[in-house]
Amino acid sequence: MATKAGDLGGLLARARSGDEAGFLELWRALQPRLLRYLHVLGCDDPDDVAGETWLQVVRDLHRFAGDDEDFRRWLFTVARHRAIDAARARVRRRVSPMADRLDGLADEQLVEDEVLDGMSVKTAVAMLAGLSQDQAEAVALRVIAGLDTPAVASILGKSPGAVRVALHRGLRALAADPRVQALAADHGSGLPGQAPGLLAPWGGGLSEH
Amino acid sequence: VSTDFPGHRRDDLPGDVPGGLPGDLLGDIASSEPGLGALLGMLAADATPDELTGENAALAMFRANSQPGVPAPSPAEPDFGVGEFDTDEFDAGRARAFQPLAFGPPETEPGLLGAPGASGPRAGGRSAPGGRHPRRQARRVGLMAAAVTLAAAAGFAVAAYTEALPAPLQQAAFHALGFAGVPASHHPAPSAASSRAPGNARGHGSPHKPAPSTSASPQPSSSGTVPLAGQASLSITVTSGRIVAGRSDTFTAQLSDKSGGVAGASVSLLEREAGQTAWQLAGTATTGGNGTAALTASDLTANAAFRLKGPEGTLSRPVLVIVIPPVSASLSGSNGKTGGITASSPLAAPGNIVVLQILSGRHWMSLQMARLNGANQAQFMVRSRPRQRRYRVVLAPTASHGLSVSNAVMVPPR
Repeated sequence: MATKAGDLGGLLARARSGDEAGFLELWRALQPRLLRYLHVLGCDDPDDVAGETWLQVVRDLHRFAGDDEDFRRWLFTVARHRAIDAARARVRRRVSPMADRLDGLADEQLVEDEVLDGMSVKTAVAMLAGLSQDQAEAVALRVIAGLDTPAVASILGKSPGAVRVALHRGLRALAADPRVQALAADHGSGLPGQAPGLLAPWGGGLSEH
Repeated sequence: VSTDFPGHRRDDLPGDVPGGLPGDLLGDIASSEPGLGALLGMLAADATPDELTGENAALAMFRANSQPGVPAPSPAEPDFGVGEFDTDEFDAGRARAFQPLAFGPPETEPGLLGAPGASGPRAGGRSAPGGRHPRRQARRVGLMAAAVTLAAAAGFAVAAYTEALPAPLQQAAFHALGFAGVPASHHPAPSAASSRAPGNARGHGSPHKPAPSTSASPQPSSSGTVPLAGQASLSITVTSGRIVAGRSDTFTAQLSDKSGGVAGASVSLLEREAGQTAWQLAGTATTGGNGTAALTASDLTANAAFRLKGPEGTLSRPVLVIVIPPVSASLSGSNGKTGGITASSPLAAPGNIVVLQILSGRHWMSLQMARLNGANQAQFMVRSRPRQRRYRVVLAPTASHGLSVSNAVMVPPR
């Protein structure tokens, strides 16, 4: 069940007051997005980094002041920093990522099936991770984390205009990918209006502007 | 109509986007590119079961760290996670620091491929400020101390549960953890009131099936007539340890003393089912010429620990028997566009979780999760694909039973 943005604020307030059920709902709503974002960043162990992220968030939750958007911005900022720490630690340990890369190559044999199935989150994340660094992060923070452009720009240390450019180019690159076009074929006309849940990260569905 | 992303505002007006796009960037591109819309939808889709596996750990972490009632310090900005390095360092070296995150091609990351000189911080990166190490070290020491404490506590608890502690410690553990099923230092013989026929105390009220090779007795026969030479040892061996629910498992007892196998001694099979706090009598047998005896526990429908009690208070270590409730999957209807898959597990419990998986290449991928209803069934709906697809259902393990995998069902092509 998707969590609406308004609900997220309520869950955040409950979590801040020490309500375990509220925290758990908050975690369930955000953990999947956190893991996908960390996958896009290329983390060796996204679960571990996500755990570190939540540890810090839980520890400092009583000091947090802000709404649900601020919280998401904080959460993903912490996640990005922890991912950078993990990458630095990996370099210090002289760990070669070659084995992981070979595993990735093996997995790519499954991509066609997964895309044709039209339901693999893992495949979608892998495709996003295949973009350039700037584009992948901009799209990930915008779509997966649901942050607005200024927030993304703040996290990435770029101007909002630069983020928009990266976002635009990233989306165009994804749209040109043959696997995405195969998705369109699999979804028939594939118009978002036919699958409102797909484009509503917080369950908001489609709305008239 | 445009998509309602959180923070999906008109701030995406592409003022400086080459070729400028009118209006809402995400919504417009997604609308004009159907495949992209679907892809973005997947990225923001609901959680898959494997993404929520750390739930218990997260809750434990929250419990350990939450401090309700603690007044918040000054309304300062929350820590943005830069505890491991200076903010300045992060800002100045952001691009460099981010390189190891596998975005750059290998040739730009010699350090990642084990080239010389890659062990330290990346070239251009600043060395760690002086204040970093003590803080990190303190954190590591703290974590290590916590881990050691936890490990010791866990080891103590396990030893207490298995009655492997010396009597005084066992008694102390009984006082502290008795409510959770830790036995006292003495091992009470099963009383007439608590004893039962073998297989009769299983979960789910299954009917009693007498064990063929054991004789249940409310009052285990005394072994006083069998003299033991020196310290005796009683060992237990389980034949399977993992059985289909409703089946039986056999245990072999070996009673030995200084002179070898002890014949003619009575040994009792004790059972503690998942969720129970006391050991119950599950059967008795008399050792044969070589000091061995076979005992069978039948009609097992829930995970249980078993141990043996022999003469003069000899006890074996406990062994675990995992029970696997059968789960079946069947195609419950297909109209060309969708197919229904019914999961059924009569010996599981309502509320148990079942996960629908699809075979993709050589791997099973989890798709949907559901709970068994009152009839121990769950329904899944799947879309028919251009070609035939293979599905199966996995019953998630609980304290009462192990993981169980169903037969595969084929959903015909549309």
